[in-house]
Amino acid sequence: MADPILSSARLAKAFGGLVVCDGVELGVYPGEIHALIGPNGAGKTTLLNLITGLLTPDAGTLVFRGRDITNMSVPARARLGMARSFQVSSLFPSFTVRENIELAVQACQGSSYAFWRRPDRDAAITGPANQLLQRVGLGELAQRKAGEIGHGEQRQLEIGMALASRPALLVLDEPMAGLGPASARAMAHLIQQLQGNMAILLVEHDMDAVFALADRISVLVQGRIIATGKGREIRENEMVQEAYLGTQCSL
Amino acid sequence: MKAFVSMRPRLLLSVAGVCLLVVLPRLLELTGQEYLLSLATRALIYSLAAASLNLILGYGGMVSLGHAAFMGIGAYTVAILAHHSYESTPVLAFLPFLQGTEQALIVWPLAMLLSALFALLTGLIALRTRGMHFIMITLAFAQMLFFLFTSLDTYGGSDGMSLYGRNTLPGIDLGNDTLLYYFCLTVLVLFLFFMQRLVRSRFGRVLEASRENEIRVQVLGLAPFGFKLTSYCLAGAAAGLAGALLANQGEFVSPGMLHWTRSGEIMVMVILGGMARLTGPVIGAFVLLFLEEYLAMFTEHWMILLGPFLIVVVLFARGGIHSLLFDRLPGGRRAQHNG
Repeated sequence: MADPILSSARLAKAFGGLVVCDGVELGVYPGEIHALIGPNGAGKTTLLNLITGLLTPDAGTLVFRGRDITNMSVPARARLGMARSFQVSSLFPSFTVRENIELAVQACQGSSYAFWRRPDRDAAITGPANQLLQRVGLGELAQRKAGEIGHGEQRQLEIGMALASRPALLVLDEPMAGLGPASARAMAHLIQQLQGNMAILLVEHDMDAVFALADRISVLVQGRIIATGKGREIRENEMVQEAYLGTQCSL
Repeated sequence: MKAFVSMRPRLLLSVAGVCLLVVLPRLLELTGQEYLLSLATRALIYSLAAASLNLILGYGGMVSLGHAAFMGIGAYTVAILAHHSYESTPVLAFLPFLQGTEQALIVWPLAMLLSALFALLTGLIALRTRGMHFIMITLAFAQMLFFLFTSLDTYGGSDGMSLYGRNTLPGIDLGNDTLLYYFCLTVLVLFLFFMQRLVRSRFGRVLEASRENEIRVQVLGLAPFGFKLTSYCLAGAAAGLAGALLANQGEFVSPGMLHWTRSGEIMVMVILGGMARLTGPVIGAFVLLFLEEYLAMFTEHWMILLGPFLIVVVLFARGGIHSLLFDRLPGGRRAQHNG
């Protein structure tokens, strides 16, 4: 197998006395959908924040595309090819849907220290923006304010913004959370289409979706990765079954 | 094309506003109220200062309570250079070649440069803080400058100092009050044009995005700090120019120009007129200054009347007076919601 696009070594983080990330060793390979599952409070979002740079680890290293990014800023990691969505949609609510996408396109194209020309009249921006709007199915809603569209549409918009930079690694934090069955299917379909084009690190509670989408799965329990493998291996792993015993999630 | 036609009422209202400002000196003359011309000129100058605050407060979401400091730097640049020009002494004793001057083309760019420099130095520190801390730290920097000028006895200390005349500009007699009015109007219109381009540019988009959601901007690969600092310096430079104009208009400077209450007044102009709306601060500056003038005719306790007025506007028009005037027109924000 090729080298992992993202790997962590002995990654650790504690908030005061609470250890939320305890020597995590994770490898995400190019083109794979790698799901990260675990009970509530296992430290999944913390791990994503460490990977994307919103938190700095107490110890350990992170390597992305062959570069040590442990102390790299959030924007620098993004420019290196990392994009993410958040558990709670993180958008520019007073911007229109189109403006949200346009800004995402602008961010990865040329300098934003341009004080005169309008990005909404620049074909280099509107072109890719139109494609992205179609791709995530928001063409009809382009002129609506991002804060006013439905929850599911906001999630789609966030994915659209994340795709603008053609990232090498897409980090998705519970993209299906709070979605109805139809929207969840649409989201799963969208993620499936991305499979192979980029590495995807997916945190998700919807186990049906996880086992349907993921190439490999890592199980995080109390800040440690207790197992990594294909869906069947994870299902049959005794430690995993034990960790989930008594919780509502059934594998 | 249809969109353009439906925008017309808003465009007409804006054009009417500019026309009113153009004919205002003549109107005042016809009605025998020439004494109001200097107030109108001051309102134009404060419009410039408030518009520059709007860039960082309205568009950038940075609640700065130290904007008067930039005006003060601009004003004192004019006064100090003029002072040394009268006395034919060097500005700094150890740099004898640096003489004072009254040339606007030298003094005003210098005023803008020094204000921008002050913005850069204080912004590097202040912009690392958020919310209430940012308000307090900008306030603190401005007060430091206030006390500095209060203690400079050479330049009048707390009494301030008068100028013997206005700066000289080739081709325009700034000593003529009507010409000064039109000059300030031109500067304001040019600045608003520049700002309109700025807020719609790539830079402006990132600035507004940083106000809305800084984390998202970072995750998209942009560092908000540089955009905020740049806009802070631009706003500082424009406010510095406003200060230089104000010193010329009143032919007087004093530390009172950079007291924090003055910063508060500029902020009220922005909020009253309408934040993140291009011409909002202009409306705010004129309404506030003229209300002060007229209310003061009736009672010396005019603030008792002004206070409730401000509260009513803030409660019932979140976009300020600008939203009351423009939003219901076709093409306005309210109209768009309904249609």
